[in-house]
Amino acid sequence: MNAAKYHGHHVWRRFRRQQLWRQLKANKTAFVSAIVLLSLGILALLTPWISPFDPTNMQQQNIMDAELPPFWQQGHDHRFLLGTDGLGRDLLSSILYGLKNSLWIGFWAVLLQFTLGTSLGLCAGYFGGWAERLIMSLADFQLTFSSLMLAILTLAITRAAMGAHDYHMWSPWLLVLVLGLADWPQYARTLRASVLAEKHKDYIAAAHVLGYRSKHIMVFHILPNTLSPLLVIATLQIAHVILAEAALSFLDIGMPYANPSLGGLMGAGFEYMFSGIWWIALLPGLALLTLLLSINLVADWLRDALDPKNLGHRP
Amino acid sequence: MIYLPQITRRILTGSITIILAACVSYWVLSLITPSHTATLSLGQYLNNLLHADFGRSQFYNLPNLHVILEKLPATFELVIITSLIVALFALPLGLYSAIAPRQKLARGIMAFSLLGISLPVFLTGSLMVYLFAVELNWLPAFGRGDLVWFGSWSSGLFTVSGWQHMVMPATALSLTLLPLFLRLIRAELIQVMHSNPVRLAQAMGIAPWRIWLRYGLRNATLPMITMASLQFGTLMAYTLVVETLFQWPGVGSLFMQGIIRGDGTLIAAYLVLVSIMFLLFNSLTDLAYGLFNPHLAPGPQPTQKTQQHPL
Amino acid sequence: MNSIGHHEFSYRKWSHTLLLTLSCLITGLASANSLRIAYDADPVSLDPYEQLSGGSMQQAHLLYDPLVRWTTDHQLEGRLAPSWQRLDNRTVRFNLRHDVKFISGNALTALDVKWSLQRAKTSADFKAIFQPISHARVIDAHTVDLITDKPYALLENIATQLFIMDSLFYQGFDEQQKAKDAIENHGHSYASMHASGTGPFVVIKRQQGVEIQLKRQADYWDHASKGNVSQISIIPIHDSATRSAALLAGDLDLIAPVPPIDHYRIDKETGMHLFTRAGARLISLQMNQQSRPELRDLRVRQAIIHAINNKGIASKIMRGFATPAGQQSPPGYVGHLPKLIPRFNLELAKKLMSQAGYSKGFRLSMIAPNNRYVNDAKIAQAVVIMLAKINIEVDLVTMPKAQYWQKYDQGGTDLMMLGWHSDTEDSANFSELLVMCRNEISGYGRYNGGHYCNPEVDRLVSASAQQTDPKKRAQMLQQVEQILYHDAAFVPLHWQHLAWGSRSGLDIGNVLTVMNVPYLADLVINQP
Repeated sequence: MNAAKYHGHHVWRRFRRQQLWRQLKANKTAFVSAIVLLSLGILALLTPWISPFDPTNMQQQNIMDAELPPFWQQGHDHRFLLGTDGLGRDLLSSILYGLKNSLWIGFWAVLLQFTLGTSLGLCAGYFGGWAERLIMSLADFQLTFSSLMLAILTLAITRAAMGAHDYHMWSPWLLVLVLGLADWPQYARTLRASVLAEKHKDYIAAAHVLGYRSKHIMVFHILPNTLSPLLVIATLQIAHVILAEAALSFLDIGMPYANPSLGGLMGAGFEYMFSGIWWIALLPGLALLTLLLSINLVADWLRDALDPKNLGHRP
Repeated sequence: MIYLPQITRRILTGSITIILAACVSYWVLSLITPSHTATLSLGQYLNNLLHADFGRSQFYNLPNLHVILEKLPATFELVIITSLIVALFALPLGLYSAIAPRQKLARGIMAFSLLGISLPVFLTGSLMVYLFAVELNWLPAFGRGDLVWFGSWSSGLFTVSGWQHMVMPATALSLTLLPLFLRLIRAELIQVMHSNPVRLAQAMGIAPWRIWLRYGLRNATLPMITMASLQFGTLMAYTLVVETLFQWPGVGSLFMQGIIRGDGTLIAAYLVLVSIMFLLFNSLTDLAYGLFNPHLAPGPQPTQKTQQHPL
Repeated sequence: MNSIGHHEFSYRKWSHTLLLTLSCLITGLASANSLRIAYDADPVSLDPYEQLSGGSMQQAHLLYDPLVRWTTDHQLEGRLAPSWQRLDNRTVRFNLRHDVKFISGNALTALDVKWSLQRAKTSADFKAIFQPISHARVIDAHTVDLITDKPYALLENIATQLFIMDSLFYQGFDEQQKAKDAIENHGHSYASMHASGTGPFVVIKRQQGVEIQLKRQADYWDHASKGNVSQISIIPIHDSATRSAALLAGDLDLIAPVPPIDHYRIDKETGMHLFTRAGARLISLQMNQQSRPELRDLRVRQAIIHAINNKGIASKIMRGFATPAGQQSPPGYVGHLPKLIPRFNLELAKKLMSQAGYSKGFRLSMIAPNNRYVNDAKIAQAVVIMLAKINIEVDLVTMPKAQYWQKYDQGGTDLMMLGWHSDTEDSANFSELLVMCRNEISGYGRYNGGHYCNPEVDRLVSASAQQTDPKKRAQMLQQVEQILYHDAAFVPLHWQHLAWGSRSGLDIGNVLTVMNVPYLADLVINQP
């Protein structure tokens, strides 16, 4: 384990040394966006308890409450802080549940990508030879197709084959599966590149001399040291997956009306915009934009902060 | 002609892709309209495809190839104009923000690009329709406008209304890709500007604009081509969204309608044709790659920098 | 605002002029009196007898002519038959015009009338309408008698539906060896793709689901018409928001229907015109008693009716642009019974459910179109929410109307949305097609998706057809409504109003019938 010490940018080590924290505090934009992201995450976690209504429960909806404006406009209703949609569903609750669903799908899909990508990348790096070639050609092949394209095609066809009702029952899981399976090559490529780069470094040689087996070195030495770029990719991918899910729901091949998602809410609210009822589409859009922007800003900062080249100038 | 093997390899893998896509589309067809595949074996289906017979659309009752080719010009023009916009803006903006990274304008450009990758295309699209079509009445909200026919090819690029109709969909579509290319060019150029040959050139007193053009842009071309080949799929995916949003009568909205109508044969034909388009486009980028870089032509090798569209 | 408005106006004028000159130069297609229309959907066929629907009827009046038609103030007006006489209580004689030719060049004769009637009587959708007419008797080339089996007062009303097709044109077989005159629902028969009528317009180009282009017939027989529309392009735009946006952006001249949500906008916009009129189209839900034993229980059907807040739907989703209904016949129809009012009462609905032993509820499947009636999918979604409150869980699937009617015909779904506009402007037509016992031969109950069957209703409706005393006939039809109300035969939602949006300079109200058919050939376009 001594060997790993020589290596500066072990991500956990840097967390422990509070470098990252200091860097974050120094960067105002990143700091604010991290706080926004954290609050959104907490909101999403607490949604079932803090949401004023349960938008999945139709017993709580009343058509007579339809199209009420948010609280700063005339004619609002105190029960519905951000107004209601065209069928009388509370918009605030829908947005909270949409946020929860977006993050839920983003998290699980990225976890799936991460697991799949890193295992395949490690396999490629570890076994080498034909396995490596096979995995890497597969990755190339997969990369030429856009993941969003693949997701749209797969889900659209699944929907056409299953029929709308069955499809909507399974759609959250299908979304995780499709978006999770589509984007693994980035992780695999990055990991393999790192494996190739690290393989010949001194600390690996030292570890070999100390008698560790390759498998052990791979998992316990190389993998932690390549975590930084993987982490950056994963953060960016969460934004990617959330946006893809929103696009799919907007096209009505994602989440159903009964299980709100930010993209689906926007799709349903689109037609109301023309008559000045902008909040049904734009408030969820704003929430989505805030979420994506904060993730992207954090990822942007993370990339710079974890870049080994930037290690020299510490604040 | 060192890059020839690369292209043959691409065509080979591409052909395998197309055959795979054809098998998948047959499977899809059997899922959506089982009655259709009951009388049509896979072999027969593949054979038909080989003879450019893509079956008949159940909804239009016309050959699928005919239906799709009729819509293809719309999508093609949208994609071409979008690519031009992206190229036209990404190059100077990327160049500028690489040369003067600490300038206010450059920071503004970077902030815009970050906002750009976080803005969903359907949000910008709906806002544009609301603002420019409904509120201000400046631009038409849907469709292609007046067309000029060259044989069976319809073009909207020769009429004023055609261009008016193009503005919003092309802008919305290019806003998704522009930030990406901009950031890529900037990153590449910053790296090049700090490289030894450039430092040497600067020391020799060569005019800065010559350095930017000679070293900077030339070096940015290759990653851009690689990026282009990787982003083609993203572009196709976004045409689906944009065409649906603006009722652009292209293959994207055709496909989405096919999904809603359950037109199995049309969906299957679209799948096969899209995979053919992928092959064509990738071969084209291979050619371009070799053209710009005749010395070392390993073909587009996606690097970590040219990762997929993070949206 | 003023300066912006002015600027925008001059800009639009400039672009319009340039656009016109350019497109005239290049395509030679756009002419001053061309009309660009968007409807919510296009008819599945050119054949006027393939599908009984509003869209089909609107199109039929462009491509074909009936013997007589309704004027905009609901009087009968001669078309192919400028004059007619009632010979006895079973026969009406029609005298045809002498100067009418079909598009194929064939001249119109009495044989075409006889053939068209025979063909219409074989159509699954239309046989019930033409059921009272037993046959046509050809007197000479331009004189024909329509004869009913029994005394029948409304024969001329039916003649408004009899579009005359070119009997010679549809002889023989097409390349697929199918008879050219075959009527095939949702099929692609020869007649569904080839039209030879006498109507004011000719199809230049038709692409299903995309566009139909029509050109005015150069020597159309109706020289008295002041209409000046020379070309029509009709496109289906499914999304109502896009349809409105396209009109507001100046891409279209005319749209229908205008979603209630956009009425205010289009009305206040300068250069735009909104035309609305109280309508008589009933929007209802069919409760399938064949697929579900639960729905055979009267209490369950009543509970469903009591659980649906149709006043709420009319005021919120339809924004007051519909009259909540408690029966089939709209006010003003002979069968209308004012005391049958909407009966939303959630408590009673719950009570009825528990009395029937279903307090825990059950699941139902439901289908609704999403481009047929105003806000159809949204209404269906609202129904799902309302039924959830009496623990009925509804699996809703919405689909475009092309698929919807196929699915409707297949049956098997528990709840189905159905809109109906009386084809004869008479109460009996509702009952004949929607609630009479299903009969393949007579065609009665053709759209009775609920499989409701009450012999007393059948007896009363049949008897009303022969009743010549208007007062007694009204009593019979009102009695039918009363029975249907008590039996909870279907869920009445509302009568949907009509709304057309256009640019100013064309007033669709001048040529629109109460059946929502615009006589576009008579439309006058004034250049702004």
